[in-house]
Amino acid sequence: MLDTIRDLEQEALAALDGAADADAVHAVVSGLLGKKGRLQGVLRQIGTLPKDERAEVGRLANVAKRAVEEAARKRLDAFQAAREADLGETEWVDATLPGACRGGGSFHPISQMCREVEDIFLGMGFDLADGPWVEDEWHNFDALNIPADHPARDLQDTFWMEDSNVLRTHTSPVQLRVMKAGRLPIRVVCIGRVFRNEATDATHEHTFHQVEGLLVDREVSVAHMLYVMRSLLQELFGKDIEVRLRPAYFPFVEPGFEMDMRWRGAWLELVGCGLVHPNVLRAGGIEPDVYSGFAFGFGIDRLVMLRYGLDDIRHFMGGDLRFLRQFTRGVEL
Amino acid sequence: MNLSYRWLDELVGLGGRSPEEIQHVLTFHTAAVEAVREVGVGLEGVVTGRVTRVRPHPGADRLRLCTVDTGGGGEPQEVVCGAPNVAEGQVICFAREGLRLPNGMKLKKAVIRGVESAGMICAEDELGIGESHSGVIVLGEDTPIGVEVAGVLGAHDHVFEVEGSDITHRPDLWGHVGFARELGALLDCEFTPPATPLADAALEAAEGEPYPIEIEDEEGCRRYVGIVIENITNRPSPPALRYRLEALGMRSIDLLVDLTNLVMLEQGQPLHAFDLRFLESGRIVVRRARPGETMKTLDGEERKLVPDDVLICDGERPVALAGVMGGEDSEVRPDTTAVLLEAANFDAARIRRTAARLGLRTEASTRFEKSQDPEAAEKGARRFTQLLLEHVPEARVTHGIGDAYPRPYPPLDLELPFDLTTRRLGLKVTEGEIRRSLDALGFGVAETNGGLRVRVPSWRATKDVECVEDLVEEIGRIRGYESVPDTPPVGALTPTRPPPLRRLERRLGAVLSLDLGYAETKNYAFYGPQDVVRLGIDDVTHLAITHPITDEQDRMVQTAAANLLRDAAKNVVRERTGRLWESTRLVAPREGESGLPTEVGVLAAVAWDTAATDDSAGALFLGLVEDVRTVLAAAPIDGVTVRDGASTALNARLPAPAWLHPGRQAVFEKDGRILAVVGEAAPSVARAYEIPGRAALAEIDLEAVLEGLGDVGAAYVPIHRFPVVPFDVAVVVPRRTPATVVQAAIAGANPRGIRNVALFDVYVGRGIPDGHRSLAFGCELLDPGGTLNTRKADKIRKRIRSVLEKQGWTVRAGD
Repeated sequence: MLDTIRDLEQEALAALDGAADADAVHAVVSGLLGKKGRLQGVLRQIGTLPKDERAEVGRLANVAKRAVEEAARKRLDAFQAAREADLGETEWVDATLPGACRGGGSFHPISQMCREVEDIFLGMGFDLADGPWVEDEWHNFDALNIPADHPARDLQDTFWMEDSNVLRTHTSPVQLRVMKAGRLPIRVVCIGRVFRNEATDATHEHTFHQVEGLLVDREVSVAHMLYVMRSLLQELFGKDIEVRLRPAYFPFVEPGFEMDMRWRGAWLELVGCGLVHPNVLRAGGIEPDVYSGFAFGFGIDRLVMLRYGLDDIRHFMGGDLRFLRQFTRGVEL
Repeated sequence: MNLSYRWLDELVGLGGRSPEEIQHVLTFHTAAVEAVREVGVGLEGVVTGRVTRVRPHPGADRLRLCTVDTGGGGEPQEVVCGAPNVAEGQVICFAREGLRLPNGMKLKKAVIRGVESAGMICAEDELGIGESHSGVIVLGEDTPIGVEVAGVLGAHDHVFEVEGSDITHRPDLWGHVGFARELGALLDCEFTPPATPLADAALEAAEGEPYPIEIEDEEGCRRYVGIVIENITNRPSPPALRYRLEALGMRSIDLLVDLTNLVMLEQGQPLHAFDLRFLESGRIVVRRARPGETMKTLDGEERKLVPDDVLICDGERPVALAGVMGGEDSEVRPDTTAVLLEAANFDAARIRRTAARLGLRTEASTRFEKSQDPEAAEKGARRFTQLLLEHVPEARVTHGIGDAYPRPYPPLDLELPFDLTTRRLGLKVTEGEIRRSLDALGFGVAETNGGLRVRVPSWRATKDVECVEDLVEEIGRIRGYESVPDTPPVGALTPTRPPPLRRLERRLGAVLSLDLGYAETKNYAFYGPQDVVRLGIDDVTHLAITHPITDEQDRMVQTAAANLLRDAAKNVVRERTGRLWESTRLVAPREGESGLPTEVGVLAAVAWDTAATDDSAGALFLGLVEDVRTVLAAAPIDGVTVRDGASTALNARLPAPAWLHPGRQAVFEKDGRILAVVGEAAPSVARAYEIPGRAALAEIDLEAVLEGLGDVGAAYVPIHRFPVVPFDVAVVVPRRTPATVVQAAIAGANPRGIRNVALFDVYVGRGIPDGHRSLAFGCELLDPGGTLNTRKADKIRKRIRSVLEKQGWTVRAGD
């Protein structure tokens, strides 16, 4: 029986040497070692042997099994190595094929600019605030020192609602909402939608977006305002811009300014700003002899148009995917 | 407002500074000069000449031969002239042959009907300073000859354009005198307002009683000054006056009208001249219009009046719509010989309302609505008188000045602490500079303890300057803001980050745009009656706009559906499928009599598939439901249930979504509050918006999501380190039993021992009874305390089976 086992082993090893592929290897192994394999067949007769011979047969059977298994593993490894020897050719894939990504998503360029401006002001220690789109006259006009017969209240400038409220014509009413909340000092910006009752064309939209800023504290000056505005514009447009202040009139500031920015060689009128008018502070419940502040406002749409060189403001509210999907580069998150 | 550089130079002396310098000075210290326009250019070489002889042309009846003396002892020029008004002795404008005229004409030596002409006697249009071609320009008899006409006419000038909206707060800047005063302060040169010696003397000497003036409407009229001037010969204005008016954008009419306009442009005070022949009652009455009253203004229109209008009446009869326009039947005419000159001051708000109501914005109303200085009324009246006496020396002032002045402004004094300017500007300003700046602008200045008592001059005291901050602005802008330093504000460091609602909006937007491939759009907050009909929500009250831009944008939206479907429709031609989202607000009218409407902040989305005409599986709808689930999970928000929508509104104040497919709606809820409504657009609605195939819509209520937000810190569960046993079960349920209900039943069979229950197949067909579906779920069974043994696993499986069967469902397979 010992010889039989040795023969089976030699026979199997020879067959493995000659095996052409993995299947042949597996066939040899299972033919010898499987439940119905020949080695198993031999061992089934082990009961016919005398007891003292059985151990030797068992040992030899194990040796044969390990030898065959080892040979089979080497053979299989060799086949695998041969198969993978030329992966570069056999499994080459064109890496430039398009992927199956869902894609197509984008943020509106106005939202991106809003986000960027928000982040700049948050970084300078300003809070964010917002107010309703439909505002009452007091917040939108009276409290901002815009008296009853001011031209700004004309029908051609303001959307009046049937309930005698208005669609906010600027984000400035949020100044009052923040002041009335009663926490001082105030450092806050509001970025949001505003409405003017005018026909649309390439440079006019009845719905657009404004940034409103307000800082109220003791001894706030024009110099502080200049610092904050310059810092903002430098963050947005680069350190090499220049800014300048011109006198201008807005009822809710005194003195009032227009801030121009020199960018790519041209002076652009960008920001309306000034020290908060004492009447506005008073309306907000703040004592103008103790506190002073500055406020500013500018259009987000205009900044976006400048940044991308857009020629028609109507794209913003136009819902055209050809437009909306262009603004996916350098999105700030 | 247009300004003449030459005129300003006459008023204040610009010291040879260029128009560009003056533009810069005004822009950075007073008001933006938007543009500088050069007028009267190209006249070099055109000189004055005297017509010494006029003879008939031998070859043409309508032409004449003129001999022109251009002075300097030169040869007289022989010129052929066709103008009917040319006459011997006139001083005219002569253009020599070879010159190129401003209108582009090059003068060549010409032979006209056989007679050689050495040049041309010019009409206005030929010199580019007017439109008239009716005759040659005739200059005053004492005009020197042989000099450049550009100088004589004052035609060469620069016109500064200032936006009216930039000086709406400065009534004093609506005349040249105001800007001249500014320049005096800015350039440090003396400004003296034009004097009126002839007028003052004539009024002093006049013996007649002043023209009677009664002001009944004292609210509407603060002051009314009237001067009677007789023995006038009205005539065309001299060329220099005409050119000045026209360069500034006003049409020249005749001397009387032109002088009222000239004084208005100089002083800012509008004037009106009545022909005395047509004032019959002998007294002026200023009153409110009566209900139903009408009058014909001088543009020939019959105007319907209301009691808010201020009327100037000749006794009873209206002769002018105060501050806006004169009446047709009392205006001055070419043959007027006597006038009553009106220089009045009217209430800004009243004039503004009248002008706006009638759509009649005139030069006068534009000025009065800025709150003009009533002191300027008398100055303007005297200035007109002075100029008329200069132009028409034979005119006579026969009556004293009539002046009804019921409502002068009280004097206004402000206490300005010296340090306030420095503190507000953030820039050191000395006491001397403060005093000098205010003084130069006409403010009265007296020193008090630590500051100044400042008397505001009348022309700044009608509304413009009212508090010390206004004085700080005066001082600051005279200095100029170039020297303001950058100073960082200093304050306590406090944490700042976006408020919770904004942070939620940012997170959810990022999921939509970055994870789920939606493009963000922005839509108007408006829609119109057609949308309401298309969406089937006409029974809901909308907040309406009183004067919409178009009828299709006449109310605030109560759903984002209409505008999103419109967006989809714009894109379907190029995009078979697409996904858009926007952040917007839906507006429900307020419930009470006062206050503001309710604004519901939503994230809304649309997805479309033009090829999905026969979409029995509802893949588009289900895809959007899944996306909303993903968005809500990212909020993060737990415990969300989804159910069949059945026309559920997002918010009780908003309309039920009649526009959604009746069988394809889903509502996301947490603790009974609706978070989101998702549905497929009803096929009829998609067709109405011209979308082929299918479209699905979603609205997520941001406030509701914010309220239901889970605790980010509670998300961690220790990893279960023991083996789990996978288990699949298929259940046959009635067709409309929601999968989530079955899923919840499985999970609920043993909440601690079953996890990750997920649907992996829906089967309808052989072996499944009609009206039923087979839903197959996979899950994992576990023992939270250790390795799950066979006995416990069997117990859980049995429990699942019995729970499902208790519902009346059939368990098809479960192993």
